[in-house]
Amino acid sequence: MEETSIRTELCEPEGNASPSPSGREKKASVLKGSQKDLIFYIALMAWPVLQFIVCYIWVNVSSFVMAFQEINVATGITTWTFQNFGNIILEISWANFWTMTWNSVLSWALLLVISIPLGLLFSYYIYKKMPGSIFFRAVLFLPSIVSAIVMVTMFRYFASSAMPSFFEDLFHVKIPNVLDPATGYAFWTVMFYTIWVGFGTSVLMYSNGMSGIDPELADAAHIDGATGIREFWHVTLPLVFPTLSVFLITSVANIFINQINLYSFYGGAAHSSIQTFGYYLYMAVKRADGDYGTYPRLAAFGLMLTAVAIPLTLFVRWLLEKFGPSED
Amino acid sequence: MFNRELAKRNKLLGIRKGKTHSAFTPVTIIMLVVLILYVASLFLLFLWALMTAFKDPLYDFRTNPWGFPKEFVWNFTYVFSQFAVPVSTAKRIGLVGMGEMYLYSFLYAGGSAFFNTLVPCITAYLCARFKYKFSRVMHTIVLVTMVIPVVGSLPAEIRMAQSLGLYDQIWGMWILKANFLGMYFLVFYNIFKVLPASYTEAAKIDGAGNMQVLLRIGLPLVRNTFFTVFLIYFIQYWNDYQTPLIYLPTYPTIANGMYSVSVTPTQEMSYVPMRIAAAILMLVPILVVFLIFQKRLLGNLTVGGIKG
Amino acid sequence: MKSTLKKMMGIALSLLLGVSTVLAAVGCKGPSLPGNYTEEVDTNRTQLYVYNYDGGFGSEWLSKVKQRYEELHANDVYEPGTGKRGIQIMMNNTKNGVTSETIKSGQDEVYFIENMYYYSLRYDGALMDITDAVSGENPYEPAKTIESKLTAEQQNFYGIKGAREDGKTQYLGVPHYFGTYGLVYNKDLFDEKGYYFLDGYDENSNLEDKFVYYDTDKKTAGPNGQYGDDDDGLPTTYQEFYWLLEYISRMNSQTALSWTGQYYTQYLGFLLNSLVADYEGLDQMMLNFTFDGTATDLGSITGGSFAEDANDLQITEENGWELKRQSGVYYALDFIENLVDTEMYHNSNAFTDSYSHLDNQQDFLMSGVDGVTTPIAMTVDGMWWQSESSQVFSSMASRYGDQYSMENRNLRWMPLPKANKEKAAEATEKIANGRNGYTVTDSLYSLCCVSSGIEDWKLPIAIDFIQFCNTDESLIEFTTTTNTVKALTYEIDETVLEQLSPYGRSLIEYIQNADIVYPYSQAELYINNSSMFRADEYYRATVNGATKNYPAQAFHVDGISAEDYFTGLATYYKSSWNTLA
Repeated sequence: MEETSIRTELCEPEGNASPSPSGREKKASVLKGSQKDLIFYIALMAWPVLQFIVCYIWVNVSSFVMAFQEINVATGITTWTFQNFGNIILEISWANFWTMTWNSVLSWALLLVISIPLGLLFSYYIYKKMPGSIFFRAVLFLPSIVSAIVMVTMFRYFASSAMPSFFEDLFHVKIPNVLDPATGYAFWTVMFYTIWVGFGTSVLMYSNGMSGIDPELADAAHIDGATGIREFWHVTLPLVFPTLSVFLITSVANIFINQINLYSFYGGAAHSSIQTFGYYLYMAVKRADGDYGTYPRLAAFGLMLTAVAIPLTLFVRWLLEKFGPSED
Repeated sequence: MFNRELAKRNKLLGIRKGKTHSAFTPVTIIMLVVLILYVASLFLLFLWALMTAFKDPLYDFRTNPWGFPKEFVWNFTYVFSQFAVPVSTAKRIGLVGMGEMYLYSFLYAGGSAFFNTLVPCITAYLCARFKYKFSRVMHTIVLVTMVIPVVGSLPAEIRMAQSLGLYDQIWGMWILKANFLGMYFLVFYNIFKVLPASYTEAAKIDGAGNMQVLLRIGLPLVRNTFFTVFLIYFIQYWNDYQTPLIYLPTYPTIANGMYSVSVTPTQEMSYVPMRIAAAILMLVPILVVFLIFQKRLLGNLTVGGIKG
Repeated sequence: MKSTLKKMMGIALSLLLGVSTVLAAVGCKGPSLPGNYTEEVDTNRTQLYVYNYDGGFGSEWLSKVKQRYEELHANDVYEPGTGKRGIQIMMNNTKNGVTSETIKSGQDEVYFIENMYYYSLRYDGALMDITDAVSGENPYEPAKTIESKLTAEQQNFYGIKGAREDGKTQYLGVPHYFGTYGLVYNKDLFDEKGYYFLDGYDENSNLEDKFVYYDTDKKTAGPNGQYGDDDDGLPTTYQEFYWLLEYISRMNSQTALSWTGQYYTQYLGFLLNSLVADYEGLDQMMLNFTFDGTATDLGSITGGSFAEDANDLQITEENGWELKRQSGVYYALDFIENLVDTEMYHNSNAFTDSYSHLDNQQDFLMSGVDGVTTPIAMTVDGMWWQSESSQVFSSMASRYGDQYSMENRNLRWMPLPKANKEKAAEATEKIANGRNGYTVTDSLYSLCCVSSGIEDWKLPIAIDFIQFCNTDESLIEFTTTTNTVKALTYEIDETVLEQLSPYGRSLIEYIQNADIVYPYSQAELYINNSSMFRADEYYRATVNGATKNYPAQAFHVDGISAEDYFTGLATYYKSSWNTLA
């Protein structure tokens, strides 16, 4: 109940409760100042901060440092160097680097223009309690329940073994092996799979967000003549924006870490024409398993990606905060 | 203005609107078609998998990858008998069977998911409600850590877990997972952020302390999201074999069993029908739980349907 | 609100616990696993914990060793004052891999592992000094030390000179088993269809005239150049191999050669490496890891075809990339390209992503027998493939008859064909003179070692056990159990061969005529980049500016020619060599 009315307040047209910059300041000043607040804040913040320092910083600092090291496994001597950054590019080659960049951006763009809108529309359908909503919501979530390793195994066998033999036996048609990069379909097949199994979490979160929307508001929109797509655009979308913006920010990170299930499909040997950054790094680390001498240049590669990813993510955050509909 | 008043009135009167619209519009009709296609494609795969699970691996599936089983073979008994992980640690030596693995899975996934939901939730509340500079720092840390690919830190992580005594303890995994990082921090943060200050101030004026505001107003507000995130994490950890494989040698989970089965040296278990049968065994319990609770866990469709 | 929360958690909890309990109850009947897995700790005995990577080679041999060792020491006292008598070897057979961290801190004390980097483990402090086991006197075999069973290359790699305070060469591990990739053929099918070359055939004759037809037709002498043995009529050169493939496929409508589609990049990569090693021979091949010696057969592509350099080249760590221009590399690439690009040469699943090596083994064994599929004449696999497939053998034996059991099935290891007639003649001449005509290369990097975390009083037991595992008796037991070999030098005579399956026998006989390349060295360049020198990673090329990791993939997906790939190898390693140094 509370959730409902709060959202309503925020969205009502007069906007006297909208969190404009000045409004935020006001709230802050109300909360700040009290010593009790500070004590409460510190007490509850202690755990996450401590946990972060121990389990993240302490553990990962070596990875950061390693990017500037040369480890001699034979002698046990470690020296400082900047060469790892150049070396990793030599190892990958610029041509493959650009292919990777293209694939990473393309997979991100596909997820952005297909996955997110479809997820939103599915959620809208469910939120609207159209026929079969509960059933559809459960089915959309099914692929997330099945472990990825099993799902890929099933899909792979189905796509490259059962389906071709089905068409050959029944229609005497030889369909190409869609997972073989030689046929040119591999990237699209893998992307299809990634999108196909990826609705669960987002639909869950969106429809959850939408469920907080007051139906009266939609009714009011109806009175104003907003139906269908307009209602979706002007009423529903702004309200799931808090959730949506998280997915948008996360998707930027995905450019650099999403391996679009390539490891599950191809193990360490996905063809360079379909590799993404995320896959390359994951695969290379797996392959180097225990071979310390080769870690530094992979750490360097990770650091290079991070150097681009962090400003980009912060920029997107800034964009969303500045121009997001919740600030209207 | 009108809406808010209406909502407030409804709230006061305890009126809950049972449902929203169900009239078709062009958008929803198209969505229906797409959803039906989606369901069909998914069920096609599952149907194929189910048929495969009942095929004789060597004498049927090999030459009949898509048709009906020539004869129905019960692969599950064999899979079940193979579904065991040998444990050899200082704490224990012996075979761990499937039932015990389910228990460890539940403890590992349940506890880790709970703490991995609770900590971001509370931290997000703090960051969203208290405008200290540090809150902004925490928010940035979340964003930054999401994009940092970490290379080769596993040995350091294991050493850390060992030196803190978390290694090979289920509760130790809860502590490892009790971090505030990840996208769900942002989800919680965004919800808390839009909560008007007046809302909590009113409670404070009534004499409620910070803790009471958190418990009585903050947490109930994100109830649905909390359960959703918990569910997502629960399933993720249920299916996670890598962490238990490395950190819980004495307590293999069901996902470990699955992994162990799929890399097992006996060739029989590597047959596709066997592997799919194993996958089904792993899936069934969580599917049952999911189907029973899906209405509740997947958020509530009826607005205001949950009583405060 | 809180109560709702609690209630829901409560329901979820009880339901999950319920499900778990029911399943636990069902599970209580107790899963039973085949083979000797784990056993209870016997509190009346002292335990030694042994980790065994339970891969293609299984755990049967170690179980046998365990039994003998326990019997031998049944009355020994290891922990005076505790009343314990005798030893119990606690085997941890698993396919879950280890890391240096788990070796250091795990329960297990002695490790039998594969695909681990010896020097990285040492760098990490995971290994215990077991010099006493390796170069010290072996109580079970006073005349021989383990060190004496290692080749010079192995001694150089495992023995770290001057690392011990007493100045002795330090050993932190010894090699375990050995594994290479190659070709396997179905001898019954070959016999039935006459897939053998006719002695004295005319090279310009029709394809079918090159092969035997009547039972009385005489076969060629085969790869070893000697008439009257198993390899008679088998292809000796790449050209003969192509003829054979075409004959099987085109004339007889059978599948000539199969391999796994899922791992074709690796399997064909390892096959390529085997061909290179067989061409180059031990000394030239070892340059790839030692970077110290003279390369005698480098070459390059000029005018579209391969030409050997006029001069030899001194190889050092600085110019090691030049070795990618070895002649054998070019010929092997050309061979693999032909296999990959000629559709009739290989199986239809050769590039199917879901077609695993185990699927391939099943098909190799069952095709032609199941009444549906056409027979497969040859397959590409690792030499241990038979133990991976043991279940298919036993299942087929019980369904179709005993002739399909592993012991009876007439399958053979095929000597790799040579690049050309000169190379083939060179090999037969060597064999005639009692020397090794073939060269095989290891690709498993297996290791037997002791955890640095072992308690002081237990170290002597671990050392004793390792010595016991490496007596000739134990080594031969390994061979008769697995039909393969340990990576140590030991005599296998006729009485041993008689105990093997036809396949095992053909494999051992081949290896007995072969020099073995252990692809590692003490060169810093190698040690600091061990993973880059693995056979499946060591053939990267830059073609048209892009890095290609796997030759077979480049041929299949990118349509790159063997000539371009060969040139690309040198380009890649020349430009990236500094990143390794």
